[in-house]
Amino acid sequence: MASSAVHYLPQIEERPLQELLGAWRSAFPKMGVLVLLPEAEREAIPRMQQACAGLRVPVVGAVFPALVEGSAFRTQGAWLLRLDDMPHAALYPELPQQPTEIDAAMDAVAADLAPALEGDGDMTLFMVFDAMVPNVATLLDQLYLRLADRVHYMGANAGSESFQPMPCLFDGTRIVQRGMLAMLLPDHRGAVVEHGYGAPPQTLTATATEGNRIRQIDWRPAFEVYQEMARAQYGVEINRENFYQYAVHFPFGIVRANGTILVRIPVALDPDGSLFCVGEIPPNALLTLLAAPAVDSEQTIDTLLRGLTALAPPSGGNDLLLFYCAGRRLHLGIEAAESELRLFASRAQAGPIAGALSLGEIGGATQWDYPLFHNATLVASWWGKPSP
Amino acid sequence: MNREQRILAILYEMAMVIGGEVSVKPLLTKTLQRLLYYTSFPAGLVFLEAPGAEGAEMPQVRLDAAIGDYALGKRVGQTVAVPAALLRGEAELLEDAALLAPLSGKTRPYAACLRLPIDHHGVILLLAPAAPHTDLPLTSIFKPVMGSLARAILLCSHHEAYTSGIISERDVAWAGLRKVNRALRALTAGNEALVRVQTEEELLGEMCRTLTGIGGYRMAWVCYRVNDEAHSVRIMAQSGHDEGYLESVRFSWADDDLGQGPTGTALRTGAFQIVRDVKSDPRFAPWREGAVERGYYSVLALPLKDGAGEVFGAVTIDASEVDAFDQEEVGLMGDLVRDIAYGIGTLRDREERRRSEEELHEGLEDAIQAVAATVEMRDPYTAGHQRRVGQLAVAIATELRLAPERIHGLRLASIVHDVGKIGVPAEILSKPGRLNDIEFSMIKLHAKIGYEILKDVKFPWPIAQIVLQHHEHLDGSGYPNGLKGDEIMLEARILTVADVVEAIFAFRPYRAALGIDKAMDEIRSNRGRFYDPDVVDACLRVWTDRAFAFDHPA
Repeated sequence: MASSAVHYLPQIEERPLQELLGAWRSAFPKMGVLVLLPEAEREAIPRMQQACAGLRVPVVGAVFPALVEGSAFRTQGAWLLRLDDMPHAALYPELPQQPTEIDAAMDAVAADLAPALEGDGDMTLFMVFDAMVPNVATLLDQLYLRLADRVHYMGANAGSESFQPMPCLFDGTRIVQRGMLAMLLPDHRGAVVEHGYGAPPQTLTATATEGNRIRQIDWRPAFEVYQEMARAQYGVEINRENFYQYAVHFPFGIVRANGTILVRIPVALDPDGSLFCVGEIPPNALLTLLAAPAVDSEQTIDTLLRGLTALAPPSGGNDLLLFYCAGRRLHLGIEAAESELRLFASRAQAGPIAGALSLGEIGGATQWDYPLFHNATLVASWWGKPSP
Repeated sequence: MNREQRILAILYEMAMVIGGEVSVKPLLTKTLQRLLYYTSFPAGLVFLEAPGAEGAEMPQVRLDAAIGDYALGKRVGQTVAVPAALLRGEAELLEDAALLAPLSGKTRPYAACLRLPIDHHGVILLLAPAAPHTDLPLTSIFKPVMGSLARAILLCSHHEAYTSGIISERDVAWAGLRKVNRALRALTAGNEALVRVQTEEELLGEMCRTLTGIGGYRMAWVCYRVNDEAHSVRIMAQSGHDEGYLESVRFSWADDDLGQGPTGTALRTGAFQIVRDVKSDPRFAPWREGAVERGYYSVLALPLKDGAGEVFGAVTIDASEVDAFDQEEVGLMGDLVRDIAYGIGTLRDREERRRSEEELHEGLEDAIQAVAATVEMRDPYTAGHQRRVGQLAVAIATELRLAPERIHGLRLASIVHDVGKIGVPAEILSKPGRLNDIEFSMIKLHAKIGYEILKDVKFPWPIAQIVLQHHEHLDGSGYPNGLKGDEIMLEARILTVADVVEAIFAFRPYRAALGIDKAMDEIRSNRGRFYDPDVVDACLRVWTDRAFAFDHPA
């Protein structure tokens, strides 16, 4: 524990929590803490806030569908990630959707961050959005317009895997929803994102999209096409209740010129037959439907590790932060997903891997890549100061 | 999904993005965003005026859009030095860190650049520390997109020029309308003040307050020309942000250095003067520092002229904006100042007339007093009687709430009401005991004689009529004309009661004073018969409730 800046508490009990925070605070008087909680432990937020307030430790955190602990998914406990010198961190609840309001809101975020951006050295803007925010890609584009190369970009979406609204972001005193937690990680070189989804042999085209809603596929109501696909592939009848479980196998792909695909997993259904994704689809985009895409886990892990090495060659014992897409886990199944985690852990040769099951991910395939909002990916990053 | 399908998907989406914009700046921003999105280059620049094939190796070119590079983003709209080799030529992927060094920042050196010429409208440069991997021919797939972008830039430029023309015209019209509205409100309020005020000082003060309070100007002030050797001026009124300005500045209306400012020139020439920009107008140099300190940036001075067209003063308006006064506003302000000058003339005429009337009244009153004095010299008892009757008549009239002007007339009539007794032999007037019919008829003549004496004097009050009627009775039993009821003037009815009360109350040469009770008995017993009941009641109240007492001894 002494050398690691991350700690997993299997049970959220007062005494171990106090002891851990107390020990950390003795060694790092200016420390703060990032807390990752699984959905099942969301009731523990006030206890976390209270414990941190008692020790005067600044805290921010988020609730995810589950946690990643090494090579396993956990629905209990909590991750505490220490920030040796608490950096700038702020909550922005109830983010807007109208263009003029978005401009004003992102201007305010950029203005808040500006004082902390002075000086040299790499910094990463680490963002956790509530998955109920429907326009994360637009907000990210707007932040990139304002901050450009002053920071690296990484992040993940928090919330409930059932996609029910839930206050899932918190700081020392508040628990908010439909917002963003923004932190500036000093001396940090960003993250690597990869999904390894194969290009599909079969293509269909989304012919009417609007924000994060897809109305038509091949000029037919989107849900009709979905039902036919599920019937043909799995022999099941798709309905509102089982929609997400099956839709993860039929994500959309936005094709990019570098041969990669930006995945969009539909997560909800509208009475008019429209499908909702986490993250926008560019207006008028020609999308491909990735029916039961093959996933190359080896390639995914290799790409992540290459990217991590490029960010900062690890010396033994460095902590890692990993977000694993909940939709990807559903598509692969828990066994295959944990197998990917094991592969990653064994090849990373790093310290503890702390993380969470996410509902959308932010980052680039390489350092300085144009930052994008993804689904179905793994986002990996070093936690703490990189090796020189 | 094969290559053609992938390219088609990208081109379709980009064409839709480009086609959806109507302004150049968002068009360039969104096009760059989509290019970065699809290619993974982290930064992109647009130069719409790329240099021709010949020229400097490192030309200065204006940067029209930048995304992903904070330092270059700060320079959008400015010129930057860019190697010509990056700007000129066909679409090309350049992997040359040295060539890109002038564009590289501290933290992220560029080693790869995708040049995309926008037909004849400049060039897009996508920049990256290393060329992103792709199996697509980036140099050729965006060619149709760049063709569409070139046409879109042209269309957006035309649209913006057209729109900005409309907006500019609209803004000019709005600004003009606002100014005219401001001037109109000041004009209206100024004209209302004209009706309301009583004096010239009030009018000038009110006008300055209107100009600053309603017109919204920073300061307004009025000065008058002093016709002395120094051609000096006198400040008459001021409103707004003066902060000691008028006390500190020196100016005149002489044709010398101190007389070349807007106010001095307006006073001297009689023409309005505008200083559109206090900071740059050389005529305003002597007063510039103090004016700018107080936020006066343009000035309008308008001459005040009398009915003969002679300049007697000026109104000066200081505005907090440069070039605040356009033609229409000056026109309206000119109307206001003309109205004010007219108002000043009217007030001066009114004041003149008031003084003349006062003098005339004083003269007439002097004449009355002279008549009264004549009576007094001949008949001291009658003179004392007239003064005491006047005192009581005024008290009754006041009790009856007559207008002050009527009361004044009644008082004058009272003090000469027996002037006609000049024509009655003195021995009859002072005869003790009862008068015979002839003597009484001679006494009765005094009302008519008094009327004859006074009737040709043009008093503003009906003095002669009051005197004529002061012995008439309501029932027609009085003299000289036996008038009844309302045929008798109210003033005369009051005078009748006051006259009889004083006559009974006071001592007479031919008998002793009978006292107030007798007097009150007389008017009470003949109330409604001889005497007006309202007048009798008022007289009784004056004696009982108001404790009336004669000033002059009987």
